[in-house]
Order: sequence, then C-alpha cells, then structure tokens
Amino acid sequence: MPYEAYFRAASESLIIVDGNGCIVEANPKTWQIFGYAKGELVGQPIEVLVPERLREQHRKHREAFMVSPRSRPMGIGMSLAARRKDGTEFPVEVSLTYAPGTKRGDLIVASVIDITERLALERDARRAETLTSLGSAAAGIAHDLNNPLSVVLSRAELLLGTPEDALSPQMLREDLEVIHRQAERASRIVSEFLELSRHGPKATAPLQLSDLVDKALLLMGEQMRKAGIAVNVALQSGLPPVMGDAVSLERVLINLLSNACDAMPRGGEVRIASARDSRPGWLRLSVADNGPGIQPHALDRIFDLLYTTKAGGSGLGLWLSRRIVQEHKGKIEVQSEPGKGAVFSLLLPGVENAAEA
Amino acid sequence: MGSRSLKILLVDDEPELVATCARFLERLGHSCLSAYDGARAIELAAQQSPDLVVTDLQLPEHDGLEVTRRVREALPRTPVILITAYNRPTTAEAAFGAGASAYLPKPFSLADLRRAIDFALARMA
Repeated sequence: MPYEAYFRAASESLIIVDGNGCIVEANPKTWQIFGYAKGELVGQPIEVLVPERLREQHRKHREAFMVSPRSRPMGIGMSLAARRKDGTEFPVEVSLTYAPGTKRGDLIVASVIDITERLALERDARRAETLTSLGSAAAGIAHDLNNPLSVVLSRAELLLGTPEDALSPQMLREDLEVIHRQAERASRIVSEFLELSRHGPKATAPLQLSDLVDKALLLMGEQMRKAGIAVNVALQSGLPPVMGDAVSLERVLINLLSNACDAMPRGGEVRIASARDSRPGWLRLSVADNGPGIQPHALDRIFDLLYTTKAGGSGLGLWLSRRIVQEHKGKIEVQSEPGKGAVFSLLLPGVENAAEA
Repeated sequence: MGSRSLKILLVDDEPELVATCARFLERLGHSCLSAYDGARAIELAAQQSPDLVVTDLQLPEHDGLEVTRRVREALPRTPVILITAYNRPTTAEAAFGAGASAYLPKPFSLADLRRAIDFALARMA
C-alpha cells in the first residue's frame, strides 16, 4: 500500500497518536532522530518525547486539541523542544493532522522536523549580517571618533604651547570645557558602538508603556526642560503590557526624545502618546515634535546605519532603535513634512498577542 | 612658515576644530577665515582670495574634493591642504587628484598642521 511505503520512507518523523496520547505507530525517521529502537515507542505516551518540564503543558495542549481538533501547525513562532531517549534535547517544528474514524479510532498524526541546523544557519546569517554591518560600522566609528579626538588633541596642544603667563583662568576653563565635551562625545560613540555588537540575551518581561515613558522622562526630563522643550504626555490607560527588555526599549524612547531635542535647539514641544493601534492587538507609542521636520530625501534613509543629518551625529541612534524594536517583533515608523515637525511611532504587540507576533 | 603673514581659509563642519586651528595659526601671525560647509567655503575663497586653504573632506553642501577643485581652478597660486578622518590610501589619491598640495589625516597635531602648511607652500613656490 503506497501510504505504508510513504510512512516508512518519509524523511520527516511521523508519529501516530490516539485520543489518549498513546503512540500507535512511529516511522523509522522518528526512531532515528529520537534515538529509539524499532517498536520501542509503540504504546508509550507521546509525552516521553517531550522534555519533562514541558510535559504537563504538552498534555494540556493535547487535550485542548482533542476538544476542537483540526489540522494545523503546532505553535508557530514558539520554540518547541523535543527529548531524545538519552535525555538530550533538540529544537523542532511540529505539524498536526487529524485523522478521525480510522480502524483504531480518532487519531492524530504528528510530523516532526528537527530544526537544529536551520536555527544554526539562521543564527549564523544574523551574525554574518551583524559582522558586515560592524565592518562598515567600524570604518564609520573610526571616522566619528577621529573628529572629537582631533579637537581634544589640538586644543590640549594649544594650551600646552601657551606660555604660563599667557594662560588665563578663563581661557583654561573654556578650553577644558571644550576638551571635556568632545571627550564625552567620543565616549558616547564608543558606548553606542558597543551596544551594536552586544549579543547577550536580553531580559524579557511584561512592561507597561506608561512605565517606560516615566523612566525615560526621569532620565531626559531635566535636559529637555533646560533646552526649553515642553513635554506633553497623553497615555491611554488600561493598555495591555508588551513583552520585552525594559532597558532596550527605554533606550529607544530616549533616542527619540534626544533627537527631538536636537531638532529644536531653540525650544519647542514634544508630545508623547500611547494608544491601541488600528491593528487589533497592537499598541502605538508615539513621540511627536514641532521642530523643522524631516526633508523627504532624508526620510527614506533616516534609519540607515551611519546616516545622520547632525554635525557630530553618529548615525547609530535610529538604526539601533529600529533594530531593538524589530527584536521585540515590532515596527518603528516616522511621519514628517518639512515645517511640520516629525512623529516617530513604535508599534509593539500587546502581551495577549505576543505568542502570535 | 617664514615671516610672511598669510590669509588662511579653514573649512570643517566641526566648529570647535576650526576654532582651535584658527587660534593656533593666529598665534603664528596669520589671519583666518572660517567656513563650515563646502558652498560657503567656495564663496569665501572667491570673495577673499586666501593664500592657503585647509579643508576637511566630509562637508555638507559639496565635499572637500569639490572645494579643492574649485579653489585650484579659481586661485591657481593658492595651495589646498585636505584633512580627513577617513584615513585610507584611496583618499590620499583622490586628494592629490583633485589638486591638493598636501593631505593630513585626523587626528593631527598642530605641529603636523604646521609642517603640512610649510610643505604645501614650498611646493607652490
């Protein structure tokens, strides 16, 4: 019978399970990837192929499936782990087919693919992309650091070349302030560059947008006040949280506020608002300024690595912000017209949606 | 640099760097003009006929190479020194191709700047 031949020869693991979660049949590919001998799996609960810590969850999942069974991929976007006979684990993708009314009752056929290699390839591709970005970023960073360093070097040289009797305290103070400012700028560039190359796992927790805004304003508020920028906050209450790393998302918000400050050196107004987006399950956090706005030709490039319209800008802020938002499965958008200010919006999935994002 | 007092045009989009170089050169007895973008630099060069131009490569509104070309065209006796934070062999090539007399990578010391100016003037003589 062709189906039997297919079952035996299939290159993905196929497991037939009954309504009680008992393995009715498993194909040779299954024995191979899970490390079992022929016949060993028949009669065992399917949960034996799942890591212990996930078995309860899996059982619940299975029972829910039986209540309204339909063929579908299992947990797309969720990392599923499978367990071999020897206890080791590997990442898998699973899809389920419902086969009711067979000789053995209502059955489920699970198709399991070991995605270890694919995940490794994806990770390598991401890393390669980062390295390429880093490579070109390195040239840009070197350039960016050279500018403040030139000022520090030459200004210090100037002072050192000044005869003592010509050194007034006022001159010293002014020059030291310049040196200090440029050195701070250089160190900001370095820390932004380090942020670029950080691979570390980030903390993920449910976050309220209002808390992010509070924290960002705590850090930026003084600076904005001094710059003559009025801050207007309109946060919708009762919004679901978003899943993410508070530090990174704060960083994004600070970047947007800082850009708004830079756009309005003679003061202005910044409006921060949060609301549900028109797309169900999504939240929108926006930062709007009434500065000069962004030129159309710059609008396309504004998130590009090393693109900057600021003298002394590093071209890293918005690129990093976009990357962080994308890592949070969100999007960052900008709307602007010359003379009409700019609105930057972060779109993030609310937590009820995070599993499907 | 001899005892001749020169009118020097300094061009860089970093005002603090321009100010530092200006102070140094003024101490040596020269007078300095400043521009922070390529368009203004070309304009000032045409209006003021400086004896020497020191320009950065990366500038808003016309880069340093364009400034170099235009100055060399309008003022054949005026040497141009190109300074840049992009320190690559191809940059030096492009600089000399555009007519620069000397090329100075950043970060440079003021002593380096002085040497570059001496060199550029000697080449022009």
